[in-house]
Amino acid sequence: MTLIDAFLHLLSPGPMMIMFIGVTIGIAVGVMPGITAGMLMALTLPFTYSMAPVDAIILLISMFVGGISGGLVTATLMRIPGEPNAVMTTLDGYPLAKKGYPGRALGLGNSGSIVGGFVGWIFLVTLTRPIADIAVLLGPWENFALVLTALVLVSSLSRGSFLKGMISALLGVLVAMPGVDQTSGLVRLTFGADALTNGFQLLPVVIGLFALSQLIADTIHVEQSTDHIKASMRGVMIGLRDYVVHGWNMIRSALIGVWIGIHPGVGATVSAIVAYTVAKNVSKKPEEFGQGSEEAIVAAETANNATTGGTLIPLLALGIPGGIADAILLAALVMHNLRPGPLLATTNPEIVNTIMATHLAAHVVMFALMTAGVLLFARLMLVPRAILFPLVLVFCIVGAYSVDGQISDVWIMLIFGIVGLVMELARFPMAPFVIGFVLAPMAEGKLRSALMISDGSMLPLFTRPGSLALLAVAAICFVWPFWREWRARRAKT
Amino acid sequence: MSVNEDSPKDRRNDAIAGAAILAIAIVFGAAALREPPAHYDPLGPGTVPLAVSIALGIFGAILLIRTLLGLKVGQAAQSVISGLSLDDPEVDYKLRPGLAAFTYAATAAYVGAIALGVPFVLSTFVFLAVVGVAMARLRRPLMWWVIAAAGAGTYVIHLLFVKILMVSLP
Repeated sequence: MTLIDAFLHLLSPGPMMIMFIGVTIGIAVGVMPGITAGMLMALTLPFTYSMAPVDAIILLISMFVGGISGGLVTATLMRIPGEPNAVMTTLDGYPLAKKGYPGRALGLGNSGSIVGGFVGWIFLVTLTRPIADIAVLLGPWENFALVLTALVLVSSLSRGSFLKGMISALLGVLVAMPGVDQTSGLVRLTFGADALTNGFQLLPVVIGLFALSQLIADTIHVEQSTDHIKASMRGVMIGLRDYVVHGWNMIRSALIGVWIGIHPGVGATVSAIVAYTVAKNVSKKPEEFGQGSEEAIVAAETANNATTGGTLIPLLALGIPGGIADAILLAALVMHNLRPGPLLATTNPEIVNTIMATHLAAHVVMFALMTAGVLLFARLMLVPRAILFPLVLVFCIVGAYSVDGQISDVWIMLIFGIVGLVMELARFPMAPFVIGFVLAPMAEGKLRSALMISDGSMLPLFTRPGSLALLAVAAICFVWPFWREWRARRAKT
Repeated sequence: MSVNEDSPKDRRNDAIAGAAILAIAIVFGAAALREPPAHYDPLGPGTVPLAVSIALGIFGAILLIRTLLGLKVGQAAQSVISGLSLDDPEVDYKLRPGLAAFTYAATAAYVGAIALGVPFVLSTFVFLAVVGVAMARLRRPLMWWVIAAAGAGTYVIHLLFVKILMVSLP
């Protein structure tokens, strides 16, 4: 299946309906404060078991795109980011809406979203295959070094604390260790618990970490006001002139979004913050930022949607997830007996092309739905939390149970709900944990293959040019935060 | 090394976290050491967990030592779970950490009831109604809406999972 075939496939009734449903639910969830796109994807994943892999991927990518975009509505009308990545939109979207232009604020954000999505898609299509073609040439040592580099990179890019990023990644790796050892068949690190014989399954862990813990945190804010500005259709469709006026801002913010998206573990929230800051720095009217600036809304919304394309590049080319949503997509691929990595484009081109085609088509559907249905979506902000939150909790439980039909998976989900809360309270970054958890089996498998080839010698890791180069990158990423701190201290003295 | 810029609360949390991580590393490392070697496998089941435990232990010790020495550790700037801070000055409504704890306990009780064999439909209705009414703070008419939604929600969940998605429920 070529990329054109994938687009044609999306035009047939079944896949089109799945995409439509996925984007609609994604936007709806993005609009509802407290429920995120990652949470939706994690909860949906178990129910895609019975679907064909291509359909499951269409559904999840559509939800991803819809969810990232839907946060705009709540950010603009309620000053609450429906999605974390819409946090910068609240700063200017709400003031502009309050000035009497809610439709225009939504229209600017929506237009930025589709431009960002389109630019992200161009990079996704042009970069994925060349990177995968190079990665195919890598042997097990290089692949092992690549995973190590990814883990160090994701930790060093965790803004705030490299040390906590590394601990989080290593904890993720360690949590992936219990269960049956794939090579020897021996059961390890179960501490006598039968429930751990199959190890910690990804879904209960992810649902606990992201969905359950977020719902518990949301319950603390159950009394938050639902006051909002009434949505209006006036100005929702922006004119061609606006695209010209904001064109450079859109392209710059999209490039920032793609670049940040490619780096593992950083994500759409950071890209929106960086694009917003850059737009403010180069703006002729920086004083308007925070007061309802159109440039600000465009920058933030363009960047966060462009990130979706960027994060998919390392996932499709290398099998390394760029963020939490990508980690769930990776889990979906594994669940459907596909092998994520550079060979995926060769062995299952229909999957790679479907992801690429859906990424673009879902943005078009999202734009149409957000333009035509914004009044309808805005009403979802008002669903009482006393009804919504308990229902989502039941979905968490059913989602965790349906993995293997084991109640122990539900207990594991409950435990990881607490783990997620504790990690957040102690201000440890969560993305390295998930990426470490997902990549650990791959890293161990590659190391085993490499050691079998080298008769148990670790020397080739340091003598092969490819693995040595990757280790050098890992070393630089490792040393960089300490060097930066040392320089900052020296500058102070 | 720079002077600690973390708040006293962060420092206390970091010290506890460092000690906990060190303990986790020791427990997992000791368990990995007890794993038997495997024939025809250069690594064996215990080597990678042991290596990861050692690395984790080293980082945990660094975290603990830096915190105790008053050196900067740093905090994750990006939050995945929003709304956990209880001292946000911009919050102009009452926070409900007690309700959050109750919701978690009720969820655990619900799972326990299912594990003990209480029918899914009954336990789900009771859970939705109890947690929903608690979140509605017994306010009418929202409370009656919540109870009605609990009934409808239970029916829809059963219909969706059993009849449409054909998922086996507990």
